[in-house]
Amino acid sequence: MKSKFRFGLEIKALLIPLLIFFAPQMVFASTFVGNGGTTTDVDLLITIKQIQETLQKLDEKSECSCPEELAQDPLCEPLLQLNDHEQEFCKEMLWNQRSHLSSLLDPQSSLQFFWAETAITINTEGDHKVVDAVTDAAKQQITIHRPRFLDLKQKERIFLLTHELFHLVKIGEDAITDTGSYGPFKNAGGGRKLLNSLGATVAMKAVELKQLGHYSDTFNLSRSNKRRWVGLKLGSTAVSSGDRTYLLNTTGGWGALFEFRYQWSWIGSYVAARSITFSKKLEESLEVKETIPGVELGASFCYSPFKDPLTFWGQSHLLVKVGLHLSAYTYEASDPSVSITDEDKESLHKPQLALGFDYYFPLNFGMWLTLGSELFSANYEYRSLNLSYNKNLWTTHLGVHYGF
Amino acid sequence: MDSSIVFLKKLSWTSLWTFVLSMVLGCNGDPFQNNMDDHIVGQLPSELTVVARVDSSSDEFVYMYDKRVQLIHKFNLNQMKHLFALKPLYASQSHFLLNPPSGNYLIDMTSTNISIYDHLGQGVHQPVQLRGVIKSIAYDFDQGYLIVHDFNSATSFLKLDPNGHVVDSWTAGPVLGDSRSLLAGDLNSRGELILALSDRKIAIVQVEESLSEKKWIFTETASPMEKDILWVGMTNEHPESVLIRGRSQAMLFNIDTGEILDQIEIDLSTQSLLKASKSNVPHFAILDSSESHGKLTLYYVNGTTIGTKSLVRETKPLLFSLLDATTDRWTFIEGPLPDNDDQSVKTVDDILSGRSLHRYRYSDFLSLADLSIENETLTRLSSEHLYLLYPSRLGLLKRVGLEGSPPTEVRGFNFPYLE
Repeated sequence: MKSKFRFGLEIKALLIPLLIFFAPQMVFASTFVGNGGTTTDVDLLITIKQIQETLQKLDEKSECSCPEELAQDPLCEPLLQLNDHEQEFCKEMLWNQRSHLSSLLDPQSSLQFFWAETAITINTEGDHKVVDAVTDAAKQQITIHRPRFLDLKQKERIFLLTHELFHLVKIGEDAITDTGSYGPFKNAGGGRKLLNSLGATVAMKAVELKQLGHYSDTFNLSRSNKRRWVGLKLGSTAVSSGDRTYLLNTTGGWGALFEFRYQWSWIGSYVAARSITFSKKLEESLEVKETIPGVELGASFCYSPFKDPLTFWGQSHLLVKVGLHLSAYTYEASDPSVSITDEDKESLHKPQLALGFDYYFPLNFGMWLTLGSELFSANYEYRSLNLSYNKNLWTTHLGVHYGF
Repeated sequence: MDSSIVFLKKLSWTSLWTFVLSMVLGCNGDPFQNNMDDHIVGQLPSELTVVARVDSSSDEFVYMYDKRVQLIHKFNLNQMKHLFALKPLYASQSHFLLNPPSGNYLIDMTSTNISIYDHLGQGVHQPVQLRGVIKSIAYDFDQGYLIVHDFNSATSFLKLDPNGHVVDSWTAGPVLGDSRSLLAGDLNSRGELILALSDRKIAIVQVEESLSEKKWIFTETASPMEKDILWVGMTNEHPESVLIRGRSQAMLFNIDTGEILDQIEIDLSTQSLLKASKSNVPHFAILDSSESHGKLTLYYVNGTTIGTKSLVRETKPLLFSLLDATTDRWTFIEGPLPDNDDQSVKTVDDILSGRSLHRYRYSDFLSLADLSIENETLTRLSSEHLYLLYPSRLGLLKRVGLEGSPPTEVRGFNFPYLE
């Protein structure tokens, strides 16, 4: 009884500061990209970075044209169709608006990105048209069809996002639209031609300036914004409080845990199956073993202590878990002549508290290395052996996870 | 293989063993030299331990010492249940246990110590000061007598009440009179210690009076034995009859009248002693090496005569022998053939491998049980069962029916006491 009360205090003592600590961080993170996005949307951030870095390297002489060696690239097609006046207009537009575009991409700007998980359809002059992204200039919002965006190559993402960013540029009182007429871009769809030319120019400049290669490592780095996680953990277990099991009083145990987790955003849920074994050989002939298989169900809370998601440490994160576990307990002692076994299966109907954390270190291609610990209460009884326990077990483990 | 060759081969092995056994047990033509069964008062501690003294009118129980965990366990044999365990003094030594059928107390002996535990496990240690290593024990629980004879020829007397409390005790030296000492003896059901003396007389010691007077109180009678008496056995049914055995003679002798009731001669040139036992009827087995196939002859007290029965069988060293006249059963434990290098005589506690148990209906030698005893087990015998304590750290006691009852077991009784 004393031990249970102590464990309750331990959990409360840990939970309260954790919730206080996490709450403001979580609220801040959820508003960065928008509903449908996640706190660390690396693909979009990389594209934004690539556009920013390309814009910084433009000079006054930068043309809306395609380098000869890239002339066969499909993205060059809009540029190859430009006449001299259109090229000149495009060039001036790009040079004059580069700072404005950069400011729009600044994290402090009012621009918001939203992800759409289904295809985006717009109504243009009575026709329904499926697009990859759409911009609401009045609300300073860009909505991107997420699956489509993830399918695009890096230069195509730059093309798409630059196109959408120029929808936020005003000529006179109005923002540029696909159907408007601007300078030499007079024909129907002149606006779209201008926007495509600007997007293609930035994309080709990024290619020409080798901006795309800067982030290859970041692209391979595992990302914390995955929703589904599976993992396998191995570790050692010790009794943190309460009596050690009879004849196993000088030994630690080891355990394995398989876990599946669904992480909506900063909060998620998990289910895990684990087995812990304590064993000891007494003299040569007597072996004693206790096994604790169980399942665990609970809530998980994610926190990223480092802010730059494009870095190793920015992707690393802490996961705190609070759950309930149902465990069976089996005790076995055997020598060459006799084997004694007892088990407590009633504990399978008595959920008990579990509290743990894991720190996730990103590897590549969705794989993670985790280091963590878990505390869980264990109250059980081996009736035929006249043994009963009320204790807390402390597990320290190393694991491998995959997020997808 | 031709059957005649098989027969000859078997015959030759039997003959060889008979010859070897004769040489081992009877060096220089003396069949009784250095026999552990001789020169004892009562019985060897190891033989006392083998028999589970149980009262069939109530729950049967047995005490056993488990040297693996150095605990004395008490078992209820009817329920095959472990009752309790106690840690004895000198736990690392060999322990010999003796208890009355009532189970009210337990006598635990090591080579130099006696402890008496009550039914709750409360012990009194060294109730009498021993003068040497314990050699043999005589007892009569009905009268509460426990007599301990040691290798310094001192004899300690204890009088116990029904709960095992020591009422009186006294230790006597070996000399009775001026120039004679005791050689062997046993206790009869009249409370008399019958002692063979070195002058070939028989002393009839009044135990109660000797205890109260703290000196030998006895009468004596001349024995008709021509040479020293080596061994004395008593029967409960006829306390006045004593079976005495010398080097080449055995007699059934009436101590009240001095009458020789029966006698046999032993041919030292062809016969050797296999075993002498006082459980439960005094008896001894002689192997006759004059016969090529080995003839075993059993001599025993049969009322007022010495009964004789012979059996031709392949014979190994007898470690323990139990003759029960009331149930017409002869049960014995055989050990393995001795190594050429080791020709010492073994007791039942010395050998823990190659043992077998045999039971015969004594009246006609019908074989009733023929069991191989598992190695390293400690054995106990009751009238119906063989109990085997296994060398298990967790504890395992098996009960094997000697005449067909199904085996049962108690397991895990050491578990609460493991460290």
